[in-house]
Amino acid sequence: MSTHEGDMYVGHQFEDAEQQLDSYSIGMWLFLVTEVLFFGGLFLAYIIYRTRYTQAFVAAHHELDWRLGGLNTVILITSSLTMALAVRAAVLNRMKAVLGWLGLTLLCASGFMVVKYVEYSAKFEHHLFPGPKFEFQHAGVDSGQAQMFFNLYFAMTGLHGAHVLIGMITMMVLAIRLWLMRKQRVDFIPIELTGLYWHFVDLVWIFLFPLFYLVGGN
Amino acid sequence: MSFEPARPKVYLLTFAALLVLTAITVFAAKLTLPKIPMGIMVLDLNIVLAMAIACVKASLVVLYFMHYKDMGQVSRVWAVAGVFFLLIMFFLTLGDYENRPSEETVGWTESGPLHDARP
Repeated sequence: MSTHEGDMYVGHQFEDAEQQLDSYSIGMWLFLVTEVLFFGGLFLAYIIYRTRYTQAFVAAHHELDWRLGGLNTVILITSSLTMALAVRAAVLNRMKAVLGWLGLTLLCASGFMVVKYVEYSAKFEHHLFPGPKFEFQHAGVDSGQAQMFFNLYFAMTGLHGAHVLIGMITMMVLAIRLWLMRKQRVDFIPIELTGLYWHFVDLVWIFLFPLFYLVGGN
Repeated sequence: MSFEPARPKVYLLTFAALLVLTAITVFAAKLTLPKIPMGIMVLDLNIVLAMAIACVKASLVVLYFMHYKDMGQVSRVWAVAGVFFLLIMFFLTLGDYENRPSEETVGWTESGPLHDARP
């Protein structure tokens, strides 16, 4: 049978609340390690192609608007702050505050996706999506090499965007669950773990932003 | 990990530091820093600087937002292992690419992909 230690719900398979929390935390970090390596492979591909096709990558990166990328960076950092505050409110068992901070985080995430949509549609319009319609003309730059830049851009920001979407779905499910169980004490572990995932998504963008939007702009 | 939540001030300071570092990244990208040739690769100090700032930002996120400071020992081991595994993958793969003389004759050339029968 499960017990309650202080105010904490403790599953019957755990010694105490601290062991329970540690176990969940270890599992989440283990998952995040696989995610790091998942994205790591793509970053590695970026490094290798960038060192070989430097000129083409520099020319192609001017097609991306660093102001939109910067805006998305600020949005994601803000969402990380609101997520951290949601976790804090959950630990303190402040139900309304949790829902409020989660809502703000969702708002930021939606804002990120809207900016991404604007960026992606501009790329499609300008024939910069890799494929038979790809067109990139720049003096002294091989269009195939430039296409590799956009291959990596769409693969990496696309995978990152998918993570943002998964994070948003998780937060919505969490918010609904919290609302349904609003009479009970908040179990903060699901929120803490979602928070870890969300901060990881922010972390990936911290590296994507300079690599795609900024570097080598001279 | 403990049940004691951090004060909001800690989160707000982390947030402010991340914003300032983002501004510095944008500013640093406008500078023209030297490029140092290393084998078939070129070490671009602009990228080195941008990645260094990104690493500082990532550390702030992990330390304060992801509660590294309050985590259990085993979780910490995994967090560090993630970076460690990543570095193994990077160094072994890049070392391999660096030392392949045939690498330069594989892939795209000025006139298009090698061994490509495109019209």
